[in-house]
Amino acid sequence: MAATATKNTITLKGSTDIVAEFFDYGINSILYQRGIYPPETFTRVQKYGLTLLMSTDDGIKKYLSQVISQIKEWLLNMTVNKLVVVIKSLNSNEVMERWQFDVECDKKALTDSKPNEKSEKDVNGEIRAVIRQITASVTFLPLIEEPCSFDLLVYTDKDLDVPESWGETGPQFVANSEEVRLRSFTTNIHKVDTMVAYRKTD
Amino acid sequence: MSAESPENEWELSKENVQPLKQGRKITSLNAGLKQLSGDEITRIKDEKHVFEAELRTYSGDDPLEIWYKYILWTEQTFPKGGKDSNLTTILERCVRQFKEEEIYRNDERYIYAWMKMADICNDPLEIYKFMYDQNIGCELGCFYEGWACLLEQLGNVKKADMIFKNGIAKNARPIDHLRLRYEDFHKRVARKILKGDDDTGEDNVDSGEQHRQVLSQLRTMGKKKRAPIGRTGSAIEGGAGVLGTKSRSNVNNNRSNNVQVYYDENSAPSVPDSLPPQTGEWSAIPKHSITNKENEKKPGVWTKQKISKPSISVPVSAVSSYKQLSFPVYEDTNNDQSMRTPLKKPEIDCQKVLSTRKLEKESSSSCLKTISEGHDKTERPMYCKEKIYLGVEEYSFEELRAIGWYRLQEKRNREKMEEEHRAVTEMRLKLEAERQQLLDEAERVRQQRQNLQQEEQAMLEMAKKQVKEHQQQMEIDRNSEIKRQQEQLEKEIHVRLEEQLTVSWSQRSARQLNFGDSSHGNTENIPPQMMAQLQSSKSKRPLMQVSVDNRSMNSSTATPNSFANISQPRSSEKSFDRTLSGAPSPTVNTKEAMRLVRGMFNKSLERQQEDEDVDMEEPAPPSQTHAVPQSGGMPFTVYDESQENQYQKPSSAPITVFCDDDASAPEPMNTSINDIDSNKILHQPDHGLIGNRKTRSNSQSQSIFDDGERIESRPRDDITLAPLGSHLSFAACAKFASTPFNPNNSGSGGKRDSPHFDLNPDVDMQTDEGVLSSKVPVQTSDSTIISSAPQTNLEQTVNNSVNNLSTKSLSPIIEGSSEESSAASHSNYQRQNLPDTIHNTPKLTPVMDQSEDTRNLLQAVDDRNQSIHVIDTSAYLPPEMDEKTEQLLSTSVYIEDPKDPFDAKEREQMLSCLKTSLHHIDTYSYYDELLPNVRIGDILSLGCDAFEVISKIGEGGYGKIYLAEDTGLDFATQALNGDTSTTSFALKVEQPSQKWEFYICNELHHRLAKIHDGFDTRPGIIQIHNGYFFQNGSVLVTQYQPHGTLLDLVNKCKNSNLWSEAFVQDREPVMVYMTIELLHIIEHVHKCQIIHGDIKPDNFLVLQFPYLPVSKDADVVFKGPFRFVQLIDFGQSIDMSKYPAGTTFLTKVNTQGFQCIEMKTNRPWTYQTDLFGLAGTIHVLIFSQYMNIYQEAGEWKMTSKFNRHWNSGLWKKLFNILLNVPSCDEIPDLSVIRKEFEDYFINNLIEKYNSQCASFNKVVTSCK
Repeated sequence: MAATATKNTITLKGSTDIVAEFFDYGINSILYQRGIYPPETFTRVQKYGLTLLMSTDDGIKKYLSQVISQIKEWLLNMTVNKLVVVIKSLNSNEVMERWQFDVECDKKALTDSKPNEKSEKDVNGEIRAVIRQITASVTFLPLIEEPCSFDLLVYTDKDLDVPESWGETGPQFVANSEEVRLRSFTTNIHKVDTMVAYRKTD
Repeated sequence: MSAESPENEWELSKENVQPLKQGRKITSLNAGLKQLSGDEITRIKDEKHVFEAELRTYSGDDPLEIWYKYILWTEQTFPKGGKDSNLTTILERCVRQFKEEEIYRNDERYIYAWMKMADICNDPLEIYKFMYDQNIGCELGCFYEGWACLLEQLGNVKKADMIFKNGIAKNARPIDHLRLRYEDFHKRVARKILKGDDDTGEDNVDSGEQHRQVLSQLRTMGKKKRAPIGRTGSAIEGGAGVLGTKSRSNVNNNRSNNVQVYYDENSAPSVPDSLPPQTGEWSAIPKHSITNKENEKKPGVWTKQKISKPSISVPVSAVSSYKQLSFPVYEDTNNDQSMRTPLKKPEIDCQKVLSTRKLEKESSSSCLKTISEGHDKTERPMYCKEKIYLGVEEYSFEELRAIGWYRLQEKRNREKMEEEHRAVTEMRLKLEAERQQLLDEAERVRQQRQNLQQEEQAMLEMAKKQVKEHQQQMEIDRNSEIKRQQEQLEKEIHVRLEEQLTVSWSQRSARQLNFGDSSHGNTENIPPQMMAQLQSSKSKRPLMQVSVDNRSMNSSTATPNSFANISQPRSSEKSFDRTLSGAPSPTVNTKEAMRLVRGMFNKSLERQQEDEDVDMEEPAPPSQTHAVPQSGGMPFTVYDESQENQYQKPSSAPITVFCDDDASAPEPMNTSINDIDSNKILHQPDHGLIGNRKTRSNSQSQSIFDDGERIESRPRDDITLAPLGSHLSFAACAKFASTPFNPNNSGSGGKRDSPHFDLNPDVDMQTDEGVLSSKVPVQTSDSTIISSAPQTNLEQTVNNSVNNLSTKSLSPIIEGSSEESSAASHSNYQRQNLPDTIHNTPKLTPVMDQSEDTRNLLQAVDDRNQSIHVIDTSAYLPPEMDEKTEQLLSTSVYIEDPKDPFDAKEREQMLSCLKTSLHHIDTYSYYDELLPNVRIGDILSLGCDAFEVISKIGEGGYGKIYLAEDTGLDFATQALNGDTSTTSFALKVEQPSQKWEFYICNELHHRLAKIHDGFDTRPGIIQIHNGYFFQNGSVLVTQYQPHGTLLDLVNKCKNSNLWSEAFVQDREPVMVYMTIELLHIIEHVHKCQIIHGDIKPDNFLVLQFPYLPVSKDADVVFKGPFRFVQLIDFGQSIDMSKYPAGTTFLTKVNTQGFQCIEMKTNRPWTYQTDLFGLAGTIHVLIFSQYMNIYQEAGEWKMTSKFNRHWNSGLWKKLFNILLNVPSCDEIPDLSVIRKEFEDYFINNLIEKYNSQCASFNKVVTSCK
């Protein structure tokens, strides 16, 4: 990573790595900030010029790496549309929050090998802003009082061959939701929009 | 980085936002965090105001709801919390408001408010403890959850556990949720314990980073000059998590390496095993200011503080011994009192926080606090204190009232709208139904008409057939006759031929034969009206019907019912006829018969009386009718038809009108009323037919009178007369309208005033004859002439009216249609009957508006027993009218509607249309009560004034005049008059009330004030001090003038030697002076466009003859402030400014003696009446006689001759001008002749006048 930092161009592969990495950190941040797992199970990591907290739980780590690697593949194909983090109540299985990362792929990059003119530093800055917003979202998000779990949903192109470990599922929207659109970042190849939906206050 | 968008406001100031359990709306969050614009602020303010208002006006059964909403709104709107949100206050108020409410004790919303308050306040545990103590929310799981969570955060896990247990034991709802949370809690605690163990073991080993101590000095150490790292472990553990943040301090203390905290292990555990009992004693809500008062210190001035020495860490125990501080650490001085209320010395006993507190009374300097806390039982606010200070804002009483009022208004408006809507719908339905009904009705009528037409057709055909048959028969007859004749003739010829005798014989016989041809049988013997009835016998049935008709008319009691049915169907006249005849299918002939009868009814009674004279058809007496069938068998010829037509004419008018009426939209409402009317009216002729003539007239007039009264008393008369009404109302109207005069009424002197009925023709005719009208004063005690007048006039009246009716056959509808037309017809009528009127006049002459005694005097004055001016019209030459007057006359009569300036109604209308209503005049006062009884010697209180009635001064047709004295209650009036003694007033008491005179007087004074030519006429016009108006009368208060009228003066002078013949010559100066004065006054009155209308000597009150300054300047001589007469009685005045320019009048004043020439000669007049009156007045002054005038060579002259010593040329000129006014357009300018008089006076007479003045004044002031 230190090597790429100095470069001013981003390839498709590099872009895929950046986005996948963002997903990893972003999901971990959400899990920590929303208190899905006990704070003691997280550890600090310096990333994007921020101190981020990553889960130390092996199960989570494994699950995430699995999903991320799969997404990486799809990102490379540019067949992924959305990645959604759904936070559900453990008891009632009710959807409490829904974090949605919309991925827009510049499909020209598939054929065009010409590297993109955007430094990784700029991209990291944008990502930092998004992560910060995720952190700051506690200001308006409701307090999650009950034990919750999370689920990851991936929206892909329709004609995609899905590996066995993935299954079809519903969109799992939040009933009566309020939606807040967060910042977005782009590598010029992939553009990621972030949005959170939460239960509306009466 | 993307540009900052307003949506990201929340991110920029995320540190300022307090997280909410239920989350926030991003829009309100952004709005709340933004720098607010003016609009936003006002919006928030408005919203807040709405809540505040709602709090005060809520009338439902859940007042907490608004509070709850208000709190939620505040939270959302003010994400930063802080002072401007006032959330703390709201919560406190809310919490206190419902503390005693049982129903809210375990209401989640209420508990929410409590917990919210706990979150906000510095010592949340106190709140929870208080709640527990007060048993607030003890049945709700969320209460225990919140409490436990708080304790957990504070690290008091044990107690948190206890709270959970307690809650579960109390079965707080929802118990499942609480249990779950309890499990979660257990898990957390277990994990923490595990982790904690790990932490202690791995401290500073596992974490790769060193921690710096918070807020410690960063002193460089060692060679590298690096600040030591001493961060606390808690930064790793709970720092970032939502849940762990608050426990940091706790943990911090535990983990702090630098400070050793020693626990007294033997002491009792600080956390009790079980919760304290719920005492309920704890009444004061724990607030920060109260609970923490011991620990707060006001920032003060640190002037004496010295920063001399570097801080040296000193063990705490050594502080006291080390150094005495230069400032007191804690000082509870009096200086603080101004800022803070004196507090009780704190008991520093942290361990026993829950120990029973003293119920101390808290006092606060802040007004708000006092109000919020002051539950002083000894004080009880007598105003809605709680409403004023209910929310955060303070409301004034007015605001509260306004809120209530607006709400009520809104409600009312809504109700009204609904009601209106409902009314409209109802009305619509009703109208719809009515319309339907009408349509049905119309349909029915049409069908009927069709039927009738068919029948008619059939009848006609039948009749034709019959006629044909007859004709055929006749033809046959004639043929046979002719044959016979021919045969005879032949025979005769034969005979003649044979005998050769005279030819004339045969001719005569031929004539006889012709006669027999035209009129069959004995038809010529039947009276004409019989023919009509006999006509009816032509049809198959009608014989019976006619007899039925007659019978019904004869029986006075049985008929009304059958007549009452008449108007019930939509009253086509055909159905009317049918009902009358009692047969379903009437015939044309019966109809005709009925028309006949009805035509008779529609004619006046007098007509019946006079029917012989008028040759009006009389209904056939029963005997005759019975005779009809006998003669019924006779064949009839064409002759009958002509007869029938002849009779049809007079009665056809009303019937066609009925038909019209039917076509117009009917109004079912009226039918019931009409029933009664028709009953009565149709009933009347019965009497007439039965009784003898005398009783008939009496009873009839009586019944008419009754009827009139009955109708008058009914408020819906106008509806009855409305053109929409059924034809029966018209019949009634016709009855009244064509009844020209009611002798009984006039005889009894009662006023037959039926304004509702619009029977103007009726009324007008009465006034014409001068026998009786509301305008003409009739003094029954006066003379026999008057009392006999009605009788003598009766014949004429009857004749006139009958003539009028018969000649013009004026249909009652035309007469009654409108006022204008009636007036027009009336004036026509007048002209027609002019000779009669003039003929009548002498009988009525003494009727005048004046007091009895003055009249006596007047009679004394009148040598030739003549008390009026006599206008001799015998020599009057009508053709003198030039084109112009003729044109004017024609226009006034035919084009402009000639107005009656004395019409009470019109005056009333004028008064109601005044720019400034009479009510606005200071001296006008109206009392909605009856006129008090005025009796001599009594004290009459009018409004706030009281008058002692001394005596009756005069009495006229319009009212009575009393002398009264102010009883001294009215100081203002006294001051006005400048004397302290009682003031004399003249009270003019009139019944009914005379607003007109009051108006004219005021108006005249008003207008005179605008004339500035040096001559002040106003003292010469009566001034009405006060006008009191009552329901049925009025009292006008004027200054009393003790010297009487000009007429009195004349009489007095006559008795004194001043008037003797020898002195005639010497009277001229005074006469000239008086003439000038009179001219001046009249001139100014006319300038004000007011016609006095009744100028006569008795209408001038004499004041005093002033001494005149001798000068050659007329202005100096005559324009002094004093007048010698005062013009009174404006009851007959006319305000010309109320009429369009060029208006002239034709109406005649009924006081015959004061009719001006124009009235006599039927020319239009305006100001002439005053000029004539003026001439007459001057004449009386000079000659002590009323004026006799005649016409000579087209010029009006008077019989009296001036003294030869006088300036007779000038005097003659004056009279010539006054009497000969060419036309209404050429009213002479009085100032011209006045100036001539003035010159004459100044040059010749002024000294003489001044010398005579005293003696005249003596006469004036002398008693009678």
